[in-house]
Amino acid sequence: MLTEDQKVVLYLFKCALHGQKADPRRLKTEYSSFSWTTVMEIARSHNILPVIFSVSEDVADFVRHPDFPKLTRQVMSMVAGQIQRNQALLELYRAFGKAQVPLPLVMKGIVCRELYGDYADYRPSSDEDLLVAREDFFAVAEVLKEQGFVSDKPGVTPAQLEDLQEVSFFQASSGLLVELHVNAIGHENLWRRGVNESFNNVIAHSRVFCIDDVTFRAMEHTEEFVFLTFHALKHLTCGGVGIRQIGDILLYAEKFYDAIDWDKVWQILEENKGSQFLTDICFIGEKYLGISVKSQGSPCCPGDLLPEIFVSGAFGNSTQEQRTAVHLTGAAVSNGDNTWFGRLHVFMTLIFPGRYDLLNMHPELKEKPWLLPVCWVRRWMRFIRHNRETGGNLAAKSLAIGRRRVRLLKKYGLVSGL
Amino acid sequence: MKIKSGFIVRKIADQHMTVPVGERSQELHGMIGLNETGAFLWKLLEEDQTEESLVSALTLDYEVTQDQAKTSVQTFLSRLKDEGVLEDE
Repeated sequence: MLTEDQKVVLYLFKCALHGQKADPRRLKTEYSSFSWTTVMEIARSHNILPVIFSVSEDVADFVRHPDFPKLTRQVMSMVAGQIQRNQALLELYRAFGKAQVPLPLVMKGIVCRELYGDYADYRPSSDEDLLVAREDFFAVAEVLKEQGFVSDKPGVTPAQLEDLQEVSFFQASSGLLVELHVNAIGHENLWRRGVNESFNNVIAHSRVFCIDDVTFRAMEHTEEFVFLTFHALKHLTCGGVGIRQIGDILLYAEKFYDAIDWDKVWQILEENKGSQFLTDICFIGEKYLGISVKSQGSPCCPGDLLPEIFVSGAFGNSTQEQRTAVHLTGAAVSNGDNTWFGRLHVFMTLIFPGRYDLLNMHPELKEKPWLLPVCWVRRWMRFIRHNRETGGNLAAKSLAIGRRRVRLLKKYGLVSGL
Repeated sequence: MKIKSGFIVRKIADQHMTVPVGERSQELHGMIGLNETGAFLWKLLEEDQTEESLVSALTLDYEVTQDQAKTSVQTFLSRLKDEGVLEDE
């Protein structure tokens, strides 16, 4: 059941997706009582505050609201930051071109921003995800360093690269964070490894596009759409997925409908337990966001998915309980079995995660596996600290969130058992 | 005189902001907020202008007196010079 504030967010997001301003009369007549403060807080937690603010800025009730001046300043700051990061990305790709390294593929980020037309700068991206062939990683990393980007894993070795999902590079002058990936989805569990197989040839099939005379590479449209869907589902299996990702998927489908091989899309999704999820997204798109994408089969549980989306925030980061619940849902999907024994296994995995599960945060485990117990202790200490900071209920709240999400994932076939 | 390259202008609510990008962001930290008149003059200064041409344009478009326009333009240009956003003449 959606709250009135959530319904208003959906209406305003629908306006943004269609490049329209909010209709003040419709807000007054169709939405009985909502709070602009809550609406903007929900928008912020889903990383869509600038677009929601912009479509609402002509609504007299909102302009008169005491939060309006502060929100104006915050949105100006967010949009300014995004503009600077956009330009930094253009400069980076100019540098890639000059250095004649194979162009990394942009995933999501700028590809999705361009879908928003005039609102492109109002869709904040905290980072840019780039995909590069493993053999090109160090050449691309060298250009990043020359452009003033600092790596979070400066001593990464080719051996470590086999298991890492990404290496981050940060440019302090622009605030641009680049995550350089050597595979599309990751291989932290069996499901992700299976999904990754779908992207084995994306670099060979990639397409070229230009922004401001700068050449970029991206996946061809069918693969990009499949990637957007699986990326969102990947986040649902761990931290949770936000409304912005749903908007990206729907906008991409609408804009590139004729260029996408839909038979291939549904086949890949069916093989990897993603088809029910996309069917529900299509249902949500038609009912709430005014975007109609033909789906296969009947909706599964959009009435469970949409509230889960709202509670999670963007990438499931809205609260500490959400962030801790990541481990429970991730372990459940990794295990795939919801029987008594399966649940015990999940519990043990939470307390004593395997070396592979911690590799991304601790790449040193690749060459120094004896450090695993040290990493466990650090993890327990972080949990104890967070638990104290949140009043001692972190475990109970995280478990409740995790269980609810596992029930949803069971409906999508990603967790089996009773 | 004209504005240096490397600025992007956006309007949020009823406020205009100019965002320095690339090399310009190293010289100028933060953004410059402009009112309606400032945004009008900034747009003109994207091409070469003189103080007189700016005064003339402001007088015509905003229906203000010559003296009012001159004061506004001089104040605005002084601020831009302080921020270092005008090209060296």
